[in-house]
Amino acid sequence: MFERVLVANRGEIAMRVIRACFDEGVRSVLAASETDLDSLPATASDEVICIGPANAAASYLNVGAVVAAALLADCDAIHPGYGFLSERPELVTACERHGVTFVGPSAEAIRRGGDKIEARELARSLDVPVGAGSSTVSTAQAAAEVAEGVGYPVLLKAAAGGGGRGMRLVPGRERLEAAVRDAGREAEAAFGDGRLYVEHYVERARHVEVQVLADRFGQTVHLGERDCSYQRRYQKLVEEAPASGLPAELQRQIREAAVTLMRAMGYVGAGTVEFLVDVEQETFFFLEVNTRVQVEHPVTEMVTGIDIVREQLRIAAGQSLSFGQDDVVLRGHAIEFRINAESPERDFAPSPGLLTAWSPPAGSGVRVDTHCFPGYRVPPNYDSLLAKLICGGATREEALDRAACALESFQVTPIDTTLSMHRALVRHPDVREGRVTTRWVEDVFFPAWKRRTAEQAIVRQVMTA
Amino acid sequence: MAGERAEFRRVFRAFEESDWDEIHLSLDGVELHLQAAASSEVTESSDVYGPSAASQVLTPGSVPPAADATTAKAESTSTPVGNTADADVVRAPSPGIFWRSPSPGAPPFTDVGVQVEVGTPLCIVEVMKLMNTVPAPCEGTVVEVCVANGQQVDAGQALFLIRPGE
Repeated sequence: MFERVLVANRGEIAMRVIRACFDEGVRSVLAASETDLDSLPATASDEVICIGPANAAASYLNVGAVVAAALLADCDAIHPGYGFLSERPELVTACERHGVTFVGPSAEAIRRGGDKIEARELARSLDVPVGAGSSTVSTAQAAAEVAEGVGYPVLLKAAAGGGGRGMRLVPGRERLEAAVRDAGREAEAAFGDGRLYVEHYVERARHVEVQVLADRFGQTVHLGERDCSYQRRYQKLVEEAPASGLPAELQRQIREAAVTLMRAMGYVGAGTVEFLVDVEQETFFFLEVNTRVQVEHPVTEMVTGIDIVREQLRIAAGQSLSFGQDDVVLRGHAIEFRINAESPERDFAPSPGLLTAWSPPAGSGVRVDTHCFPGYRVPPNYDSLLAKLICGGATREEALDRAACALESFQVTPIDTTLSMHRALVRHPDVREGRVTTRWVEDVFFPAWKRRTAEQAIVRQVMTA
Repeated sequence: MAGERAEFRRVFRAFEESDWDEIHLSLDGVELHLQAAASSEVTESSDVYGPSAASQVLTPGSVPPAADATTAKAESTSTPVGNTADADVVRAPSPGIFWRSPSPGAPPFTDVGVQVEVGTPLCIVEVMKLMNTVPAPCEGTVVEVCVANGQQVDAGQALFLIRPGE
């Protein structure tokens, strides 16, 4: 096992990695920007090294700063968390070059996973279903031919995109030319790679992803799947494990497809394979691979009892998986709510600032992953995630009931958070009945909720006038 | 102490062998700042120092030197032009990071002496990765840029002074 691990991230995931290091008996060295030197992870880790100014480009996104920090602080490994440099092959190759172990897959696996077209082709070659569509389309004409074949509406996606970025919905032939031109230009500007591909658009879909763990000895197992259909602008708000209501055969096929794909990639570490389930057709197809630990990993941990981040450390240190596929048993149900410093009432405007009160819930079946504390000043420089609230139960209903109570008692003052929205979401009949698809939050839940809260605000104004 | 020197040597060597631009590390009260020279020959330069007196043009996403915010402000903000007594103050709508240009390397939205109209974009205040463009609230001439590029601002902080009128 490693002696000293550089935790090259911040916020709640830094806390998570530090905790895993502690559990494994490894010393943690937090790589923090100047703004984060007085953060909770900085007090929790064994040591702290400052890697630059608040601006992420100069610190958390600076490969040289992160690797040099590992050398200066005498660390034998770097854990990149999620986001930032976690899926940048440059960090992996720099680690290899300077004798530091990267806690994650190889640079090649990251590159292959990051190229969405290549990943799609790999899936197809393994007979893993892919969305009807194409590989690279270079012209509007080529795109039109594919779109005619699969039927409109279609999605135009960037090969170097992913996570919802670089995607465009094209409702019909008339919009295609402009879409190809604009999407290509945007992709080139944003990712330095203007390649596009076309995919059939599924109206009623569920986002189902499978957690995979693989060691250096070729052992690849899945830890079941998650449903992450609660999305707004392709950003996940809520996640569940397992994906309830999936036909058993479909569930089996999805899990198996994930393992097949990861094995073929020679993947080592923790990774996730994302699929789209066509609710009407009861079919599934491969979307993309995420070559890092994910934000929503706790729901899988809660239903399997497996510590995914500790397994990452063990795998990276060269240990073999201590369990096989048959040892992986999913019990009960878990649901996670992302608590962001955003105001859903004001169109999710960011709301950084000083927390005068921070009082998360606790108790059996309630887990809170956070870096916040009363008196913490949420900085405006980074993303808005404050905490993840994960609730579990023997059944999905129990998990939801527990979540409703936990959300009620979660107090945050004075900044706005997405708690208000989650409190309504967890009680919604569509959620209870398991009718949520990827369009649900934006098309069904949010407009009605916004209207209701606006009405309530008016009523309050009138009453106090 | 020998151990520390060994680690510093490893860092210098790694920096030399790589194509890294700039790193600024701080560990146990020791600061290490390495910056690749602009010329094709990569020379190593290291100094142990406190707040830097150097300022540099910063743009969104660029790697800024570890400059002390107040020093950078004194050096990079413009000198007020003309009479600022009757000027309108444009304030930050939220806390965030002040950017003078729409994107890295692009020319700034505006500058001292520029004529603006109601709605003319003046700057971006970035909050949690959201880029908010701040528009001019009135017609007039920009007479002062109050904040340095890349500086963190509080809600309500003065960003520009605009003298209304033609």
